[in-house]
Amino acid sequence: MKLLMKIMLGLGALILLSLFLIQYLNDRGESRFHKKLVAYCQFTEIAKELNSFYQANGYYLSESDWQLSIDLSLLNERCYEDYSEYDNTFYDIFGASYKYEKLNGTGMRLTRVRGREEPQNLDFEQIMVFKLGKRVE
Amino acid sequence: MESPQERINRLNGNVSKNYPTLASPQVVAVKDAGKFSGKFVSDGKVIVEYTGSDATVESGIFHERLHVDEANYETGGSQLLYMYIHEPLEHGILNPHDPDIDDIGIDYYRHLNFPDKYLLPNIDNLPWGTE
Repeated sequence: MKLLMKIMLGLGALILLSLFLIQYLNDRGESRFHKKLVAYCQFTEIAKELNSFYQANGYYLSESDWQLSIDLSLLNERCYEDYSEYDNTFYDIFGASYKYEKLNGTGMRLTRVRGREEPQNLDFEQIMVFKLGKRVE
Repeated sequence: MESPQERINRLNGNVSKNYPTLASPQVVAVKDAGKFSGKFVSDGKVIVEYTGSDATVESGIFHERLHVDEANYETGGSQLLYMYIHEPLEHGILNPHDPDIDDIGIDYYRHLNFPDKYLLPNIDNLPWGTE
C-alpha cells in the first residue's frame, strides 16, 4: 500500500513538473515573439523617423550626425521597450545598432548590425532602403 | 479621450475588418503584460498590452487571435488543452509555441507599416485552416 502511494505521489509530482515545464517553455516562446516584435518595431521606427525628415525637409539627414538629430524619447513610446543609448549610438533590445547611409542625396539605407541574435532567427529584414520618401527595399 | 479598452477595441476592429473569419475572443486591455505583448489566458479570452504604437498593439492582438483560432480548430477552443497538449505535441516539448503564428504576426506588423510595399498576410493556408 505504501509503495502504491509512493508511486502515485511520484507520478503526480512528475505530471505537475511537466505542466510547469510546458508552461515555462510556452511562455518563453510567447516572450520571444514579443522581443522579435520589439526589435522589428525599433528598427522600423528609426527608419520611418529618418524618412519623415526627408518628407518634411526635402533632403535626408547627413550621415555624420543623424543620431544626434533623432529624439529617442518620442520613439521609445512606440515599441514597448526603450532603445539603449551609449556614446550617441542607439541599440535595440538584442543589442544591435544601426548604420545609416545617404544614397545620392535622394535616398537612404538603414542597416541593422551586430545584434546578439543571428538575423536569420529573427524573421525580419535587416536592411531598409528609402528613395524620395518611399520604401523601395 | 479614448480609454485603453476603447483603443484595444478599435484596433481589434481593424483586425476583424482585415480577417472577418478569424476567431474573435474577448480582448482585454492591460497596462503591463510583463514579458509578453499579449497572452491567450483562458478559453475565448486574451490580454493585450495597450501601450505602444497602433501597429505594435494591433499586431499583438492579431497574434493572440491566431492562437485562439488555432485552439478553436485543434482543441475546440480549450486554452488548457491547446497549451499543455496540442502545442508540445505539434511543435515539440522544447519549443511549444507555433512558429507560423510568430511569422504571420511579424508579417502583419510589416504590412501595417509599409502597406504599399507589403500585402496583407494571407491566412487562408494556415496549417490548421481557419473556421
